[in-house]
Amino acid sequence: MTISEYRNNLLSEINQSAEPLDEETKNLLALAGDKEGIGNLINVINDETTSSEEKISAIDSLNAVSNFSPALRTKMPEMVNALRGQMSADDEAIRYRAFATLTAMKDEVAQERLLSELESGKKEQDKMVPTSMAISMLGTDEKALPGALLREIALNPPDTDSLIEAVRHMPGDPESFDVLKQIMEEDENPLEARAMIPEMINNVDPPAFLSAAREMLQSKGTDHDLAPSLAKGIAGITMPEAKPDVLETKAMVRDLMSSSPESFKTLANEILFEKDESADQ
Amino acid sequence: MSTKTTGPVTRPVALDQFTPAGQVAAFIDRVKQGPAGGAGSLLPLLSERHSVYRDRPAGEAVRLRGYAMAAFERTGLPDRALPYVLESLESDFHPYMAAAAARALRGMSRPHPEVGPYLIKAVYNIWEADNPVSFATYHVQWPQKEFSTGLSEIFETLGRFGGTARRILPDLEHLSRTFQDRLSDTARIALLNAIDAIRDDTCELATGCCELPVILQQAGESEDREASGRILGKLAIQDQEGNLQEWGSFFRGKPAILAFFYTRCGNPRKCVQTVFNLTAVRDELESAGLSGKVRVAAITYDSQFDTAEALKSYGTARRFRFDEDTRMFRVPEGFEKVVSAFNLGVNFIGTQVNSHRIELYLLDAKGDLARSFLRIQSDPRQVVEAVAPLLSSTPESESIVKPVSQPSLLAKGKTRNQFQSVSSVVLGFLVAFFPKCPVCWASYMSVLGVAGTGSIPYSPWLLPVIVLLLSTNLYILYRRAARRNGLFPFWLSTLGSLFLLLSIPYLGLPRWLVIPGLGLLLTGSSLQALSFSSFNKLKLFFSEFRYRFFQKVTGKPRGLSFGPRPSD
Repeated sequence: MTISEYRNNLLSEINQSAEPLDEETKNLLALAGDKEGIGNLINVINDETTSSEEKISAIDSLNAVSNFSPALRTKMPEMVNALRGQMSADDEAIRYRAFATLTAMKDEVAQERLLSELESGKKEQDKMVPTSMAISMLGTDEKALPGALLREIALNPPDTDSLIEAVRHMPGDPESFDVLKQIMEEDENPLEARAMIPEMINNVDPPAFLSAAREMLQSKGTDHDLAPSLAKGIAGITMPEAKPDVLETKAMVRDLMSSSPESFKTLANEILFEKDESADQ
Repeated sequence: MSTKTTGPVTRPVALDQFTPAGQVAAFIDRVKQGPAGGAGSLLPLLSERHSVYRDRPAGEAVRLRGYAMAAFERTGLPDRALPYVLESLESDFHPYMAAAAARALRGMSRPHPEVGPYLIKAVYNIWEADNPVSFATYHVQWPQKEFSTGLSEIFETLGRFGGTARRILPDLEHLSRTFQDRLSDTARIALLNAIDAIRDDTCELATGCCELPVILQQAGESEDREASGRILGKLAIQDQEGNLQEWGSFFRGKPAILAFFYTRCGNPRKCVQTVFNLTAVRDELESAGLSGKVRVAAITYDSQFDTAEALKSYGTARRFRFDEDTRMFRVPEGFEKVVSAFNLGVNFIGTQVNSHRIELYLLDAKGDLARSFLRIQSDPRQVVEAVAPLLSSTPESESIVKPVSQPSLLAKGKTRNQFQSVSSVVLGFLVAFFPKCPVCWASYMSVLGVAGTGSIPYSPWLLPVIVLLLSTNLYILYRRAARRNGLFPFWLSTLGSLFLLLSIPYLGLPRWLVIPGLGLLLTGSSLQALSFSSFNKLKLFFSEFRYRFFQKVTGKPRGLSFGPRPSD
């Protein structure tokens, strides 16, 4: 099925829906087929004299119909041209919307602009888009973010959200292993970031991960906020050469379970031992 | 600044992954605005393995590469750049790259009818995601009041091709009839203009049909001069079942067809198509009765992500028929050795592929690189035809032969080809100097009399012999027409043979017919004996000569104006 066919099917499905449509949906449906209406909205975005509210409303309306509008398809270059123009808008709401829409389309111009901002060393308040948001937008394209840049941001994040986003999009590769392990081990880092790491790195260097996990469980205990994530990481290891280490780590977890909180016991039992036992049977 | 200008050609000194995009663009701008002959310094920037693309996000790599490619519109497009341009048209889904390639084609010294279909492919690649593009400068100030798009750039190039693009006029008319309402205003107007320009141009450049493959092959050879697979003998590779083995244990003993891919490649024209093509190659091998004699392999660029399980499920989903001789591999450690051995056209951002070319290699039974098919998806039948000659070098015979370098292997193949091609020339000469009348016979006898053989009498019964020789010669020329230089040499020799037969004394026709007869016969045989590329160079020379002659006589160029637009 081509993109055009998909869009047309979607539009006809909505039109044939048995549910009564509200006024807003009807307007959007009408807009989807209205080339002139779409052209007018693009003109609103380009017009320097229109208010921010009008521009935001125009961008939102175009976004709303972008998946199924055959009329917008013919106006797409004009829309992209207009949105690229709003990447440097004074109003941050317009700017963010322009970047969000363009990066969702993997627009190279928007990607490059965001990336140069991330690499610029500008103060956070001077950036066109906050670091966390920029990473999140660029992260829609798995080839848009260099691992080195993410590692740098993760080690020196301008704020907590940026650290979380940097970890979320960092490749689980050998080059990132040390940075991720360091973030995982530092309790002052947000749990949202640390909790992602065990499953990201468990297969990059299994013995190193198991050793770090054992050390953390022993020193910080199974009531530590990261303990369930470490257990998940241990359960996720599949490399056969790590097997003796895995058995040793599992034995240690079993020992620790007697003094563990109930929640950890249940989880560890479920993901580390029940599976093995049923396999043995 | 990491670049400098040296003499008439601006050379890319130390452009690498640390050079900011703006500085790379500034270098390209200098070449673009500099004196003629700068195209050569842009060429390295077309290769995806250039260090300037190392660790660059894919989008930025696309923009830089596209910016460099589009600059050929100004500097002129050298033949060696053509495979990169056609590759972008055939398999790139970025409107920016398609537009850049379309612009680069305007830098050709003369439009070529065979590039038209590539431009049509590009239309279908990008038409659902057409975007505004601008090559006036790298950092464009958006929004632009007037802008072109990927599609409008393609249509404009086709319009400039004029009559040369007549072959693809039906495609454009079909687009216009069926899909016009799906195009943006800019693209639609450009399409209609292109159709008018092609229709209105009464001239058509009769460029030879076989030039493009030659140009592509020569450019590919030059790109891959240093590649060789042989040094990887002990490198560990793992197949889709998880079996580890040495490189040499799979890639030696039988010729092999080897392609590179990765499962995360999102481009259906590249890796997915490559794997489908390998399956088709496998089928062709079977039809040719070569099953079990040739190995087929696909190796991933991305061994970290592509585990054995991932390879198996990817291959199975694409009907890749795994067996002992047909496998997918990953290189658990040391993939950089493979990259260096084959000069692979790939680059990475971290450990992830950010760009790569289409590449398929033929290895002989010793694991040496015998031939490569780069950038353009290869025809499975051609691949099998190319691998067949490698079967003659059996591992047994190789075991007693010292390892030889790739050039000497290629030379061996060349010698065989040269022998085959020379046979028809020898035959031609034999016919030419065969005594065809009593006068010829008398002349020969007067010469041979010195050696005491002058007493052999002339016999009219020798006539059937000359007819037989002529027929054999024509038969050979006809049979080899498809594989070598087409039917032109055959028709030339046929005409020559006819003249010779008409000149025999019994018909009473003028005897001077024997002179053009001999000339045509020998020219035909000699042309057939030329290598494919030499033959085409010759054709190109005559075509160019005719073109210039026409221009001189009529005072106007054939086709539409070509080269940079004054407005740019």
